[in-house]
Amino acid sequence: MNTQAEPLLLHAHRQGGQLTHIDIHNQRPRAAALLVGRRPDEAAALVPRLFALCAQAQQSAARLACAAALGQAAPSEREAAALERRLAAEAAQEHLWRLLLDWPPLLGFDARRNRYAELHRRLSRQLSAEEAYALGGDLLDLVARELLAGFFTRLREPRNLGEFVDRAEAGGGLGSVLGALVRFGTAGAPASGALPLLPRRSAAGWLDVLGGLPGEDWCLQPTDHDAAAETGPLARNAESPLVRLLLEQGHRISARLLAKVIDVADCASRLRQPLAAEVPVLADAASPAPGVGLAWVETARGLLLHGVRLDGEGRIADYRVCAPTEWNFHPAGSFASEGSGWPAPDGEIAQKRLHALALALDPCVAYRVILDDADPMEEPAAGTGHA
Amino acid sequence: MCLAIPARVAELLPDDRARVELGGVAKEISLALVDGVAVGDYVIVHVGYALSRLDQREAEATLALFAQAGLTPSLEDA
Repeated sequence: MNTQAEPLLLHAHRQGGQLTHIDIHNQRPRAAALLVGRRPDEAAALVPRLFALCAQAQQSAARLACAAALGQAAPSEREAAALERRLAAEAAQEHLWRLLLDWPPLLGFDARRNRYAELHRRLSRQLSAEEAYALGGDLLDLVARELLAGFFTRLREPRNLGEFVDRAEAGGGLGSVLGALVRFGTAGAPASGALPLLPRRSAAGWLDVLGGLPGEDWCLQPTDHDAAAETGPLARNAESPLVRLLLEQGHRISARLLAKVIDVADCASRLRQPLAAEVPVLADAASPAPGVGLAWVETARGLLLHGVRLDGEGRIADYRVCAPTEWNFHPAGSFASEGSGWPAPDGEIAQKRLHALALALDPCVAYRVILDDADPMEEPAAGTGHA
Repeated sequence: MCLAIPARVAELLPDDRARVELGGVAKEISLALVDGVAVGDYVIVHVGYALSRLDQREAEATLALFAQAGLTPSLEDA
């Protein structure tokens, strides 16, 4: 780890009142190297101790990749259901941190610390199927009564942006945040067009696309068919009618925020009925050859890939991890593409929009947005954010 | 990926807060998300909150692993 305070630095350059380009310095720690030389069971036990966030997802990806490499049978239906519940609880917890603690203050509202603390404790516990069912119901109530209550008072969906804002502001703490975010306005479409959204594919499908285990360089700056792409809530929910409405009007940051709430509702459904046909599974694994395994988990922030190659003695010879932050904060990724190419005469507004974009793309490490100003009369602005 | 940074609880403060230390750096954090934390316990710290509790042996083993990989997590990152 380097000596700077944040592992992810997002430099936005402004010249002539225009945000011209973004430089991203991603110094996230490469902890995968710690697994080389270990036995698969040892690695699976170690992984959750290394990461503060998504420990369940990291451990599950490690276990599934190693099991695939060893040619072990896929988890039984009961085990797979328990895994879905654990991953859904963790993803809901990660989303709710952002939705209750980080988004409200950015738009001038109070963070809901006590409410989050209560939910965090419940979601962190080991849950029986019955407890998970009850908690899933409470999360659905949270979405309908506390977060976006205004959308649940009428059957007909809003037909335009004005109706959308009216519904958002008619009830629910996050509705107020979403309404304020839409009213804050857009920066216009990215000059180069919106980035492709990462499609959902099986682990075997990823092995086909990658031609085997990904290389270390690919894991640092991943691409899909040689192009940067976005992973996460927007990629999962872009076809949802309300998300589509926001996208069509150019409100891509708001669309991502709404997509996070839809994710919370989907997590609640998984807690109640894991492996139901209506919601896709959260994890998959495949093996292209004996001793090699690739697994993915859909985390709150997007696709987490783990790849492993075992040596002749069954120890880990190579280990790869590619986290969602590497997609969304790729040098040509969504932050770089949408964070530049728009008029920014007011440094404070530009800073706020960049911070909202970073929060919407949700890096898994602490980050700092820095506005580097080539215009001589104004002071540079900076703001920090955290994973 | 955010490294799990274990820090020792040095002092319990009012309002569910605590002062934690790691490698000579001290930081005030919230204990709102974990129960029953006492002075001398180790907690995983993330953006000003204790996320979970762990025992001293686990904490030292994790820090030794990071050191072995040339990683020196700091409370300034957490």
